[in-house]
Amino acid sequence: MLSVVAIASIIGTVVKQSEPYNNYLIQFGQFWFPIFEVFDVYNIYQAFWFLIILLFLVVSTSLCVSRNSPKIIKDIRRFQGSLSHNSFKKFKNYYEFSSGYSLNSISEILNKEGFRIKAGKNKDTLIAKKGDLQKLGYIFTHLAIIIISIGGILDGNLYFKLQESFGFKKIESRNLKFSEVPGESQLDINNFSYRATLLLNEQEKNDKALLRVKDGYLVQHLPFEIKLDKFHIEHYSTGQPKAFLSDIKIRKDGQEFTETISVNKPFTMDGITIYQSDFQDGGSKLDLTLMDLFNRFQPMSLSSEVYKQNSFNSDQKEYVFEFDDFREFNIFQIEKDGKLKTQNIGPSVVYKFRNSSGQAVEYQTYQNPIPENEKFFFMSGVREDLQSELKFLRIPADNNLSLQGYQIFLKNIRSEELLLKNINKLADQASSLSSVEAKDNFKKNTQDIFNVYLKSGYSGLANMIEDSVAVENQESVADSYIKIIYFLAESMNQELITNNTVENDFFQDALNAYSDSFFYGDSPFLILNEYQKIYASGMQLTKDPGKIWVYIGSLFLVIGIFCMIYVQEIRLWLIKKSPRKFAVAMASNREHIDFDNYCKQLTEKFKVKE
Amino acid sequence: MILNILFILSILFSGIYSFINFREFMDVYEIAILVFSVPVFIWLGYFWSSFRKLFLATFVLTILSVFIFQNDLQMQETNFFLKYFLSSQSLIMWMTFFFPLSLASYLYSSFKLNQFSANLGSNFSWIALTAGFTGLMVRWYESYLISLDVGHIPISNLYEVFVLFCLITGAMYLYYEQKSQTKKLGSFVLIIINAAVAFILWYTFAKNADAIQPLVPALQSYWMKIHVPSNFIGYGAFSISAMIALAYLLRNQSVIKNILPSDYVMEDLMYKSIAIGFIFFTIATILGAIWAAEAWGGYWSWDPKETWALIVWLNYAAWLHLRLVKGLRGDILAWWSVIGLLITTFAFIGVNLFLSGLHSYGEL
Repeated sequence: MLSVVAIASIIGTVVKQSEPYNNYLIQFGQFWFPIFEVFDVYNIYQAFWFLIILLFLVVSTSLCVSRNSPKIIKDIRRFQGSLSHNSFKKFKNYYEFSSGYSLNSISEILNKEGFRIKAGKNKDTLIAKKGDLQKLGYIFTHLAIIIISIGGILDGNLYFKLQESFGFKKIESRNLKFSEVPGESQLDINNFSYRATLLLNEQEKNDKALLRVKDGYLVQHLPFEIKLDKFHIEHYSTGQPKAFLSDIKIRKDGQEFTETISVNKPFTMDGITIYQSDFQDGGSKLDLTLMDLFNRFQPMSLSSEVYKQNSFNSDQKEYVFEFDDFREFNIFQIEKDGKLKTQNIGPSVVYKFRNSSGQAVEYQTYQNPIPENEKFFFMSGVREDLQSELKFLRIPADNNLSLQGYQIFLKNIRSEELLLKNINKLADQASSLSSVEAKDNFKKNTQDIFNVYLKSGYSGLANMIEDSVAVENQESVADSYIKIIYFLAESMNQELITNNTVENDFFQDALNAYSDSFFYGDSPFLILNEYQKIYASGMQLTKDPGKIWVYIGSLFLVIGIFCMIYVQEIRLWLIKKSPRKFAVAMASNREHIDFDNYCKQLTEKFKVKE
Repeated sequence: MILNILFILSILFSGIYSFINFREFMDVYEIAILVFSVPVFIWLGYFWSSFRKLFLATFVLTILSVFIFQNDLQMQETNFFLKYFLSSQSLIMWMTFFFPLSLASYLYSSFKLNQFSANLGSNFSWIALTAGFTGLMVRWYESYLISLDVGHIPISNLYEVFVLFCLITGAMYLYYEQKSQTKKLGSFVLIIINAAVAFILWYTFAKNADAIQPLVPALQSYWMKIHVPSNFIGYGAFSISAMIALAYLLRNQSVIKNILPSDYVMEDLMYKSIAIGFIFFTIATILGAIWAAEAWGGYWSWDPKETWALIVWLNYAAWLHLRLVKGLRGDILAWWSVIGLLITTFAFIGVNLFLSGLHSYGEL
């Protein structure tokens, strides 16, 4: 029986419990999924057969206890029979000794040692015993298992299970608002044990909680209403979270109680304990600017919220995106002076962007520029499926740590007028171009090269070189192209240098960023201007009347085990063979080295110095 | 006599000093734990006289280290004594140096039947214990130097509990060594301690896991101070019993036939360590359940760690049942005890590695 429980428990640890059923379907495939479902492998510990085994365990242990207890108690009361000297001679711990003590004095010694004594049939014999508690230990441990199991069963969602088996209640699996859930999937406040969850946005309140059961849920009515005032996170100086706290108000019968709960510090009311269990975004308000990475439209401003869908038009196409999360704190290991340091790098938004064909791509954009080798970059990661790693676009920050420098850079490199002007300048400077024809040729080529870069970045240039240049020259040509592009970009952006907006090393990074933009997808770059963080706090509400019984049972268990292991049960027979000659034998149901030693020591005590 | 007085004085000093100076930073439960620990330590010293020396040595070295530190964490880089001897990291490194030495001495004494080398083995173990316990004490202090809110008892991650495991297993072994008056099992028990030492070294150098990290919210509780140590008394005792069982199973091999104590002694030690381990493991599991009720919202969630704790518990409950009630002895129990260690190891490390759950503290 116990081994079945053990094996079932092991399965339970290997198969992740209580996940959405679809995950199991993917994991086990069409064939195994229904078979496992029959045996409730996904909720093994709530499975009917598992409870039956537990129940059987309780019953069999109870029977065992009720059958054996009278015997044990009788045993404790009763003394072992007298034994003849000949029979107890055979005991392993048998000693003969001479002593000046009388039988009475020896009785006193035994009394001090905790023995209970009975005179034997003859005047010259003594029977004694100690350590009855060891036998009580048996009753204690088995009783403990019964009490713990009953406590556990009491907390096993019986209220619903009973009503479900009579057909009164049913698990709801559709995605409904609490108010729309039919009565047969609602549990009233008389339910005596449950572990329900409640997710509240800041300033939101509710008097019903969610009870997850198998692949669906039930709505559990609470005897009070909970309102979340505020959720906050405290941080260590390194930025790691130190505490998650929810300020809540509980309203019941017109009375209001204000409490703060946190991890390890729950609050109990009416037998219901409220725990801080998790948190997520509760619809933070975001104020953003959309910056097109190819400067096809002017920066647009946008006010939105997390979980809200947004759309905009560009090139006569409609683009849709929705915010999934806003994280106020992002803790990263950052290298500083050769050492890794944990640091908060500030807020980020996570959103899904749907291109015109409807495919969703996930983006995560950080608000603040992130330090890297003493430079700063605005970072935004992109991935097409959730399994892969984010690939980052890194836009260099200007000297004011803003994106303005890059915006000007974008506008300038895409200005045809500026391009022509600077190409002319370049051609004029090149002394090797003597003829007008050569100059025009050079200008045209240069313009082509730059336009290829503008249209498809470095990878476009690489393709062009591969197609049109002999293999042995490709490297040197690529080198000169990159130099030309760099030179042009720098000279087109002279104003940034003269205004002291950026340093000279800005352009290489900016050109890389522009080139990488072609891999970034259709989303504009989101600049987060301001935000108002709104949290949602996940609370767990537990009603467990069985808990106290489990604790009492546990106490019994410890006492019982202690008695069984460390109380030495000893039976002792002693006979006075002649005025100064004695014989003693001791036996125990558990004999080991300590017992042997004890017997020796005790016998020593019986001897008196002669 | 002087030793006794010094021992009791140092405990009283630690207790009273902490109470007076740090009372305002502790909640009522932590104060209760502090007050309760004073008689427990005194009792331990009364129960096992060598504990007094260990306590005093740890006490003196810790005070010395704190004195040199002068509340400045930078000192461990600049001060010679701290850098090489008395900072927690170097103390723990000294521990990892002396445990292998101890094993080597025990092994030498086993094969050469050399009593001097066996004594050396014990002494090296004692030095390792002193260094390790001092290391943990100093680490506790250092964590507060990082920042007051970071400070916590150093039994909160895999690195720290492995150190704890070495220390508790080592201390329990030395107790049984004295009690059973045989040093012949050192070569076996020290193997498992050194396996843990090897892990610590790998974890330190390959993963830089020895840095002190602040506690995640779920671990910020006084329960940690009692749940974790009692668990590791359990793990340590089960390991000792398994290693003795291994010796027991190999007793008829000609190579080591003459170097082991009698069957009776080994059976007895196996039983004793499983018994003590079982009691502490039971208590630890119950404490864990009470803590879970406070932190996770339920005393039993069938979390992998909880479930495996139950499996370990059932396993040793069956072991004790067979020995105590059915009177079984011999090879079966020895095999069972070895397999029990595999189950225990999985519950301790395997669950962290292979199964995800709430109890995911310390991943590799």
